[in-house]
Amino acid sequence: MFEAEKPLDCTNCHKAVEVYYTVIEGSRLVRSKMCAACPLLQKKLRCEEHIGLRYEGGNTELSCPNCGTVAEDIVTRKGLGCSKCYQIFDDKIIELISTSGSCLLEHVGRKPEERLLFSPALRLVQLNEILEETLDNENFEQAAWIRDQIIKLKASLINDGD
Amino acid sequence: MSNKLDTKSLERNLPEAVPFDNDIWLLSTLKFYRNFKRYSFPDKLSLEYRQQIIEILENLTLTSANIDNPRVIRARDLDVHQKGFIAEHYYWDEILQNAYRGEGFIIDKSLPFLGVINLHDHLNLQITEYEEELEKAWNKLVAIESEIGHSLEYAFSPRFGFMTANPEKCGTGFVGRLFLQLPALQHTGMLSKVLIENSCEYIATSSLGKKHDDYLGSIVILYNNVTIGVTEEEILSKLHRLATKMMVAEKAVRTSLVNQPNLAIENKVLRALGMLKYSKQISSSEAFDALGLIKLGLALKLISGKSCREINELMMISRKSHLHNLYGWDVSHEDLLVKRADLLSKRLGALDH
Repeated sequence: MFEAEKPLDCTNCHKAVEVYYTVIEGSRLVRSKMCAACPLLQKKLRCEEHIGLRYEGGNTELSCPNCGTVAEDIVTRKGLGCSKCYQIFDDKIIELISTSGSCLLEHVGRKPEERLLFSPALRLVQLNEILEETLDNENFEQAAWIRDQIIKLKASLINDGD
Repeated sequence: MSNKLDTKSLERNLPEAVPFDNDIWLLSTLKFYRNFKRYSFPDKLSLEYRQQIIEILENLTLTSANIDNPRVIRARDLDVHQKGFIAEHYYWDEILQNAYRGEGFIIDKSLPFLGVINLHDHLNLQITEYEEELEKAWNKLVAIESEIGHSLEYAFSPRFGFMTANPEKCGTGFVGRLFLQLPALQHTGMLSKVLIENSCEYIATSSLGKKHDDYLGSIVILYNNVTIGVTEEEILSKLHRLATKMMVAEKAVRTSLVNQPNLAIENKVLRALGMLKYSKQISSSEAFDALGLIKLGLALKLISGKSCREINELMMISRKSHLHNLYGWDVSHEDLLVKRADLLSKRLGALDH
């Protein structure tokens, strides 16, 4: 366990230590200790760019520096406040999404301005698969209905082609 | 041009209630959730910026090549009843009545398309389609979305996809809902079993009722409950596939009911007929459930005298906001029950056993 040190500027400060501030720098932990009113602490909290910290009465909590959303807002499903929240709270978001049933927690769909268009012919493939299953189950009347859907869809594709 | 609409004018500016003949697959809605990169999401945005977004979108839609007859209406220009009417007309699945100062709507008279601005996300885009042609509806929706995206960059990250205020909608930011009416399955007690047998990944069910398995009017809504880690094509394909299987199951049960008449079902249908023809007061949920049974009765040829299309239209106009629009927004709740009963009784007079 390493020792926390007072910042150099606080050498002559005799106020009670109330806050321990730890920064991860590469593979190193830098631990400082300071009083609650320390101006250096306030400066650190205001100047943090890649993570947000909100300081209230001795407690700090993660918050978005852009819109002020806090982690609790995600847990209570209040909603995110901006795009930056996705960067700040990525772990919490992944946790939340993983409860919704998605196996893959990463976007695999289309990108903006990608004109992903679907052909109705895809439906034809699907109907043929369902037709086979229905015939396997010997539901002949229902198979006839699916066959009619296939005929209707083929006719519609031909008309669209014209 | 004033964006203020009166009650009747609102209905005239919306696409006409589509006279759909659909027996089982009633309609589908495809919806995008989108935010713009340069702004914080609406709940954290000042009124000034929210109004700026409405103005930008108004200019974009007025010159759109994909929306024929667009109109942007500010939420402040509509009262709570008109917002409820819009939600009903487009089968919108969120409360719109809270939309007020910084929110707006984009409507198109010639297309069942609705844009909602600054509700929780900057922009929700939804198309309703009535012909089981999900692919065509998708293509149309993507065209509108892409056109807007050319001018206003969407908030997007390679990891999280389209970034939404509700992180459970991020990724594709796309939810498809299919509305199936399955009275034979429901009233023979087979609905849950068939849903479980055909269940598939990423697809859940809900209903128009307060509980997700109320299945008001025997209407089952299939929708994707996952939007990330899955492609849009997979979502549409799974929805379409499950809908087809449910339709096949419904038809199979109807066939067996025709071949082997079921007294309990006949009793339910005729009771529904009696209630609709002779009630003096009827609630929206009672009407919905009864009309679902009437459609079953017509399919089984237990009753005759009306078409599927007419029953579908009644299901639409007997809902609360549509009735208010017909009879006046100041009609009390009790009077509305009477008006609904009166409307249904008159329109279903020709129905007979």
